[in-house]
Amino acid sequence: MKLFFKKILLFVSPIILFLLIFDFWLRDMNTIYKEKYSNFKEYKDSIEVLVLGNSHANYAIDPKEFSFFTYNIANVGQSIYFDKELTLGSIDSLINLKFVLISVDYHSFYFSKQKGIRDNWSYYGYNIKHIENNYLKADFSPFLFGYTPKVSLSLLKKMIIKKWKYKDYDHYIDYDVEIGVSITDTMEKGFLARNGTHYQKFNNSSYLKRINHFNNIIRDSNEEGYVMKELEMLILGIKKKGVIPILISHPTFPDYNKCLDIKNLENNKIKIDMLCQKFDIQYFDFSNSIKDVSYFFDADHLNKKGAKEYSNTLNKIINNMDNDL
Amino acid sequence: MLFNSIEFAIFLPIVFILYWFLTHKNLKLQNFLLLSASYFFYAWWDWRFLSLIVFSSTIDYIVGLKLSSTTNDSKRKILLFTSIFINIGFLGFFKYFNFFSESFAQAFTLLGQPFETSRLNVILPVGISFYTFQTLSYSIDVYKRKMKPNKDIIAFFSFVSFFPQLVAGPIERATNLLPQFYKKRNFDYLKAVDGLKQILWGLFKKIVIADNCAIIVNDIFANYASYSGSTLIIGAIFFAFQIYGDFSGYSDIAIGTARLFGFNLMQNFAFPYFSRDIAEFWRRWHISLSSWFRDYLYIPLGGSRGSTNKQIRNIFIIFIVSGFWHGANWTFIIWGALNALYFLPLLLLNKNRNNLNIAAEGKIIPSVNEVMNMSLTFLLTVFAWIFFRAESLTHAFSFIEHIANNLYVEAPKIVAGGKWHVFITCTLILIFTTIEWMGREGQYAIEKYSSNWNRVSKWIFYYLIVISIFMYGTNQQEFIYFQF
Repeated sequence: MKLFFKKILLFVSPIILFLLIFDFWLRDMNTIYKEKYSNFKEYKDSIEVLVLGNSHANYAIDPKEFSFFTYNIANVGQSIYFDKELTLGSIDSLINLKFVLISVDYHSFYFSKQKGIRDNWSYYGYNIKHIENNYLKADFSPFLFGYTPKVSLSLLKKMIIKKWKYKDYDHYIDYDVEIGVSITDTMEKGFLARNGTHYQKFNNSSYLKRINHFNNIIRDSNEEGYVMKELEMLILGIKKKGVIPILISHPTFPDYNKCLDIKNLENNKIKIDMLCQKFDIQYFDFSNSIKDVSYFFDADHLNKKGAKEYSNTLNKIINNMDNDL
Repeated sequence: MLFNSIEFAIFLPIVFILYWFLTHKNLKLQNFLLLSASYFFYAWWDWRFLSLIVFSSTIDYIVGLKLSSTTNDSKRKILLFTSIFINIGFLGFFKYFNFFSESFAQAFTLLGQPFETSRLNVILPVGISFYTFQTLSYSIDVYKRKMKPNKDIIAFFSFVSFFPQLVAGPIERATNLLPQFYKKRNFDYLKAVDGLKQILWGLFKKIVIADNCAIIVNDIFANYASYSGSTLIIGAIFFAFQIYGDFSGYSDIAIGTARLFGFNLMQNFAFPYFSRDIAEFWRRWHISLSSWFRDYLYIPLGGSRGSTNKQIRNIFIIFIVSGFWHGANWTFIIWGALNALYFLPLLLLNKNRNNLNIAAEGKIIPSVNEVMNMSLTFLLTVFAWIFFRAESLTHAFSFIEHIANNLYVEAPKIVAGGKWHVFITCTLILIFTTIEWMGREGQYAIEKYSSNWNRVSKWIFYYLIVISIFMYGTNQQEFIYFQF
């Protein structure tokens, strides 16, 4: 028995040591969530337009193009639940806030939890918990349960490559970002653009892959009612403070849009119309507004050039709305 | 509590330490600890269904005692049928009520007599199909005087609810497992190390192979209409690896865990995908269930004796019942019937016991004939797995129709998880299959695989498995067989 325990201990010790070191690094590691949130808190007194939503809004709205002080707190896979928690949790301190741009995309009404382990990322970065999740494990070990071993190892690999590749640069982004974001860019008011056009992604197979992913979310969803309630709470909370919520569907590539399920689109439209009527708010559908492929990174995300163009359009609309007040 | 969860990683060492340090001097206390741990393990899912296990155990315990106290045949029969009626009754109520009521309603509707049925809104208690069969085997064996009834209530209750195999088998026979609860168990270093190795291999199968295949399979089966025929075939092949990794992985962890406590459970999978015909496949796949049906259903029905018609009838009964055991869905019935169809020619030509040894025994490279036979058997099972995986018969037939209609020459395009994920999964499957092939003469692939290696090589090999579990493990997913 002694020998058994001795050998087990010997075998497991390096693994435990490795886990402890990794956990320490992960707790200390910077992320796009931490970066966005710390800037958000820093600018909270100045923010006049707040951008919410998932990756569509995250990559589509460049705050620099707005005449009002705009902050983009949208993030990849961010659900309406987290939009609500972020906004209503800080709305009292956002003293100059005038407009909130709420993304309503093809799949927005069907999920409150974020894809994969992103709920944990939000927890570490925003300190926001999803009401149905238990974060005990994520607190216990970011490596095993928070980021998961697969992602943690990939983060470490990327960090090492980055350190080596950009060792001579004055500045580079030290946290993980998605493909297309230039490492030497700087996040400004929550915005980091994707560069160029990923032309390989503009074909029916890629559209279907992406749409299948959304259709799976929609088909398996049992949260439709819950998400609507959350969205209504968000709109109500914003309006209570005298701030104007605006519903927006961001540009996606027209050929891609043709592959979307019409039934789901119609269902979304019914929901949006109901919200506009109930709360007397405006909805802007920009989904087919940009047709030039060079404005897109992939079928459902704008690139830097597209974000600039689209943000200018949005800026004009917001200025008009402000003038009408 | 899932085997691939942190809860189990905490639970197992605690029970292990209490078992060998605190209760090792007293057998009754040791059994009581196992019973408490097993009930705790089960209650982690849903404590309300514990009452079902307790009730089922009580009935069979009493039936066993009563069977021994009477020699009257009709009384003994009544006792046996009481046990069968109650156990199968529970199973029928929780698992099959909705299926039968809906099927009857559909049948009457087709006959022009529509009527409404009410659905029972009940959850299927985890593991009910497994422990029901285990406890039934006890009553039947006592009835047949194959074993003496048990008087030690703690030992009997521990046997029914033994946590390593409680929720997804192997379905142990009372004649094998129950006597192990009567004997003093001493800690055996080699057995414990072997148990750990088998647990590690089981985790690899489940976390690395099955869960990675699941990402691809789930997408292809959900969106089959948008994929080419070749992609759908690849999806079905990935499912073959998923179901094998998932279920045999669970069995390995269960058997390994039991070994840590000094118990020997039966082998449940013996490298079934290296089978050279369907009969061999069924001797190697889910052995504990196949042999249960063989001993308690097929042989009492007459087995392979009697007229050809009777033999055909028996084969269809055993395969269809076995399919139906998996779930209350026509897909499982068709899956069973399809396997019966595969099996029948072998039986009728008296070739069902042609391949009793392992493929390419004593050799590394199989013969061309063996490769052909293994490939054909594998493809036949893959086709049958489509029914097993599909959500309904319509889904299954539509999936097959899409394969047939889109079978033009086109390279498969798997989009789920991305190209890198597909490449990694294929590579892992290749490594996994190679290890399984090399270790096919053992109880599990790595049992003898590394026995001749020096300690450093062995440890490097084990660390590589641990690293691959960390690196290629996906989010924690349930074992497929929990739903049965």
